[in-house]
Amino acid sequence: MSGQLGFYFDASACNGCKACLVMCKDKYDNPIGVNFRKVIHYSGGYWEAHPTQKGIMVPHVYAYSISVSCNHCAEPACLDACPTGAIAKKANGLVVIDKEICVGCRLCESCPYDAPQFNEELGVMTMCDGCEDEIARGGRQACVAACPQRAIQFGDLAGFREQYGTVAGIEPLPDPAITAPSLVVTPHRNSPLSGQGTGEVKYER
Amino acid sequence: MSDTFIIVGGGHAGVRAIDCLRRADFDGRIELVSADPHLPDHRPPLCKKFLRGQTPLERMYLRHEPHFARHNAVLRLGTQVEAIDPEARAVQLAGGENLSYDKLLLCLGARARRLDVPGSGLQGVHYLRSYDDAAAIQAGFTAGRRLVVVGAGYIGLELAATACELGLSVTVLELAERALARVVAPVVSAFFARRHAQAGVELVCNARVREFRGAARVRSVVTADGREFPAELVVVGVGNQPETALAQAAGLACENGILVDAHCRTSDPDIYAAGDCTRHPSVHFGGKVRLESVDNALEQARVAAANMCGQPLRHAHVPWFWSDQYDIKLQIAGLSGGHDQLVVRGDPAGSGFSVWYLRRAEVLSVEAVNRPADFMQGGKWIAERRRVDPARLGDPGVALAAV
Repeated sequence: MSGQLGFYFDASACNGCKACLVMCKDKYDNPIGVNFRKVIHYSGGYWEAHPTQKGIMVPHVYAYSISVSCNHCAEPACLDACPTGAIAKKANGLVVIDKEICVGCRLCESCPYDAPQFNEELGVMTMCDGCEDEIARGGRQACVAACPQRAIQFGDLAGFREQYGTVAGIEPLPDPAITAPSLVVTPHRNSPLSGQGTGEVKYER
Repeated sequence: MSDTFIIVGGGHAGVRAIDCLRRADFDGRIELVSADPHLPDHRPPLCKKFLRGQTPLERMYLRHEPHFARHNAVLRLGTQVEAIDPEARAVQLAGGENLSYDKLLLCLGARARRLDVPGSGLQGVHYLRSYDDAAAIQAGFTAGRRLVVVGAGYIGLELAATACELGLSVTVLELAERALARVVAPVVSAFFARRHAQAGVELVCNARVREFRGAARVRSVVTADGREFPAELVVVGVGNQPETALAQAAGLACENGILVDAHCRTSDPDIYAAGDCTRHPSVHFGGKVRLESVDNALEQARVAAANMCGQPLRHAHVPWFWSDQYDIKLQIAGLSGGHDQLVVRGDPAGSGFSVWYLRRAEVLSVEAVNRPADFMQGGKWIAERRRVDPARLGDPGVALAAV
């Protein structure tokens, strides 16, 4: 595949179970606190006029979960921040870290998605590599395979955009204009776009 | 009641300290006071990618807003600290408000050294330290313009490389007899001089700037030997001076930087300092040093945060530095002072090589040009005080691991 690879995430289907996170963590044998993928619960709402009863205000509420990892951005902030050249963007668009030349300075933690994760034991940064082993053998990514709701897909970004549209940020994800993530999101019903939220993060791990 | 820690300064050190304090399970109040009106940003891209016009400020934030909220850190941006009262353990903000602290961390940074010659106040004469400085330079960065850079140090040369790539006509004036004279070996200076010459940059060494000429705007730069270099834009990069005024006024010991010990503690037991503003004992190399680098800011912040939380930690780390110019990455580990031998590995006329500084065969420092593996290996050897066989080290036929 020569085009940009990326994730599709269906926020309308995710139930926040964290199977994706657990499967990923298990596959990469990551220590406590190191998560290539995280699940965020977000909820909020506002008051609005009742559709038929004049003078009555009713709550418009939303509560949903988001599963997010490295989005292998077109403009990766981590790559810009890296002083050693350890972060590179490959021909298939994946953003990868060369552990051999990473000095563990953690400057790439300026990623607004919090994707690069410092592995204390190894002294280097680590993050989602798109399950390169599975790409090579045509298999499915750990998070994709684990999801009981079929809410995560990984593959050709252009195809996802064609099929699902171009929304790449709903709250509380950052504004996609910052790093141009290789991500397509189907919003949960009523979920506000990035930057337009009135809700709060309830749980993030 | 839980403690309040105040951090003054919104650079790498200040932001890293927040992370480290929380990782050390500090659960008290953290306030970071920064004179910059925006979120703390990465400075290294300011003379490179930012000038190419591809990087809005929000792409350069060290941390985005939610990070500070998650770490329960209060940011007071655009806020100047007027004074520190160590007796009362309080800082006074511009506007009169006082903040009490249990521990204070000063991450005041450095300021660009001013060139005090006639005409230095002319329009078009710039210094580069902050985002605002870079934005002002960028406004004049158009192809075909004549740029004179004063100083062939890291900032000057990185800026020259960027300008040259953007089609400006660039002259670099350097006081010393070679570029990067303060920080690298002559063979590395020569390598960079060649690369800049290839790109079309005019590098003039042994050139002391005597005057900037122009009516309201700068038109030329005149050197002591009377040569005149036309300029529509000038950027001066002649080193930094540590920000010590606040510390000095508070009675803290300062001497070319705020003096701190290996625990990053100043002469006041409740006040710590980290980054460019400090002068500290070098645990590994001996003596006192003042290091202007991102790495030192990050590492001192980590050390200061641990000690502020009562966890004794010494700043014993091997310092490292880097510079990106054109397609070249220069990486330096260690400090070269006191070396008695210099070994070159690889061909300096090629695209990558490294220079090793030894003292009685112990590796003190390595300068790696497009050789990240040499840099990584060098850093480890320096830390473990490894002695090497200079002949084998200099033989590119011998793998580094086998030296």
